[in-house]
Amino acid sequence: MNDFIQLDFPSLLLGTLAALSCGLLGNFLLLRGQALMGDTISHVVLPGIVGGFLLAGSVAALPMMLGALFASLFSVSLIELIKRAGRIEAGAAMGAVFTTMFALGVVLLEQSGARGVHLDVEHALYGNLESALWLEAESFQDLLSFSKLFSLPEDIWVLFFITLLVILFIVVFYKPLMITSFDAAHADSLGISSKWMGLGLVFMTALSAVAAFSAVGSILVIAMFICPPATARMLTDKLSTQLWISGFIAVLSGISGYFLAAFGPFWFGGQDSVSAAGMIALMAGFLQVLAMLFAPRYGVLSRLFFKNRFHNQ
Amino acid sequence: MSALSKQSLIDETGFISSKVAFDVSGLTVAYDRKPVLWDVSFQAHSGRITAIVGPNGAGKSTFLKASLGLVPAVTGQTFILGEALKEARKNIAYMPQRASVDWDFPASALDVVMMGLYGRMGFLRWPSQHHREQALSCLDQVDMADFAERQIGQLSGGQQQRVFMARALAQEAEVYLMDEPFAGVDAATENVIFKTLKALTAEGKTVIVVHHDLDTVRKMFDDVLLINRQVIANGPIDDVMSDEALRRTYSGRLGFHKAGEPVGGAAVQAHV
Repeated sequence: MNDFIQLDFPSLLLGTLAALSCGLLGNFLLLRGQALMGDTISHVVLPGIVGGFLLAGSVAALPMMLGALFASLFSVSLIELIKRAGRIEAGAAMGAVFTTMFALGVVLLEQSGARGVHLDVEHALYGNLESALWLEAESFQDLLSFSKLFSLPEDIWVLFFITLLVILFIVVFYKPLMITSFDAAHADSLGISSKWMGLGLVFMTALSAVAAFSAVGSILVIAMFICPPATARMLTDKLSTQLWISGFIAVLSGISGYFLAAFGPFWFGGQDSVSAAGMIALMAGFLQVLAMLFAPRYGVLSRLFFKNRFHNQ
Repeated sequence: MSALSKQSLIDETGFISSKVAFDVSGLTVAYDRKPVLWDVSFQAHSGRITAIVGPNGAGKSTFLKASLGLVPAVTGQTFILGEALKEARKNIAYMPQRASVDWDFPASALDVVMMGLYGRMGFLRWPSQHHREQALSCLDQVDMADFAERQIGQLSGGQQQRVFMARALAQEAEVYLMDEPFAGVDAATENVIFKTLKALTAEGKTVIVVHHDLDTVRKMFDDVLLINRQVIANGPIDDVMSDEALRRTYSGRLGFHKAGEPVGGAAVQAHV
């Protein structure tokens, strides 16, 4: 059991929190037709993270976080600029910016390798959930002890506070987020600025992309942004309910994905565990497929069923 | 023209109480340095319903948006009941075209109408039972109370348009700006929306409607703004909507022409 609390619990927490903070924000990205924005930001933060790391010379969270925020705001402005100056559509502008920025990140990353600190390409791409350890813990009772909890890895604390911040952001700005997502022109006519709400959403997306980065890497994070809200959308027609369901789905993917990755192979007689971040993303995708098939109203099967019944009558 | 229109206003309503509620002056809008609207000035009067009429691409929707500051203007000012736009947001209800939003959005008809209340509600306040009842009564005014809980994507086009109308009603504004509320709706919806707008003008509100159907303009509206990038005419319909004015609105001479067609010479003929 000690193994679990020392080795598995911190990774489980990290993966689940990453899924939760990204999954909640993803609802609004999806509703605004900006799913690609999550993808964009999760990629463009890479040069920012590496830049922050190179400047600070260590893997401290703050400089990397600041670098990532700078990189994402810079990229968002760049996308706007390219849209106007280059006269191309938003998707193409995003694609141009995020691949270029990501390439810059990869190039910078090679430079960082020379310094001998662990920030390698593979972890940047796929994350490194398993490296989260809580060696100070001895038993489950430590979960109730503040002094012990403070010894949890920094990554987890950062992600924890950002998840809280995301929830706070959604609760406080629920109405303006909803109205600007549904009808931006109407919101603007009421004096509720769709531009500022959009920027706020991008800012929060950048925050959680950066925080989730160390856990799941910059590629798999996109699954966290899209799958839970897309699954939830199949199951309800009410925004507040959709937010609750997406949160639940995100947590479910995080927990089930981690357990399957860590212990699944042994149940089937295998030797090694598989990538937890990968398995979490797989579970998120799997749950979405389930919802697409079996959702009561929008599922493929129920639509077929009702269509047939309709025809038979 | 201005003196003429004021004269007939007095004749029609019998008193001079009808005041300028919506006042746009010198509005110029350009996309990519091509002017879309050129020096448009326009006044709408309280208690009256005005149609904005012009061919496709004349800048009708852009005029509404730019006058409300929703798209950037090169020059121009808007006053609502004598107040600058910024101070007057609460007195405006703007209804965009139905096609401008994604109706798959996870919201019920009631949710959408509640959004009309957000402008007055304040940031942190959660909608109360009182707000719900207010929104329900707005839905009731457009005969949509039975559909309050229905997801908006499952409504017909006409029903969706009525939900938009109810949302505008919920704003309890002084000036209503509607972008094509009658486009592609069924007869029953057209009737309901028209009655609702008429009821608003009877309360002294100002209603401005982008309208595409020339045949119904005379029947439904008091005043008209004929526009094709520039103002062709503005005033009571009987005074300004002559065949000559319509021809000028729908002909190519004032800058509007389709690609490939020569300007001026073979002008697009008005369908009048």
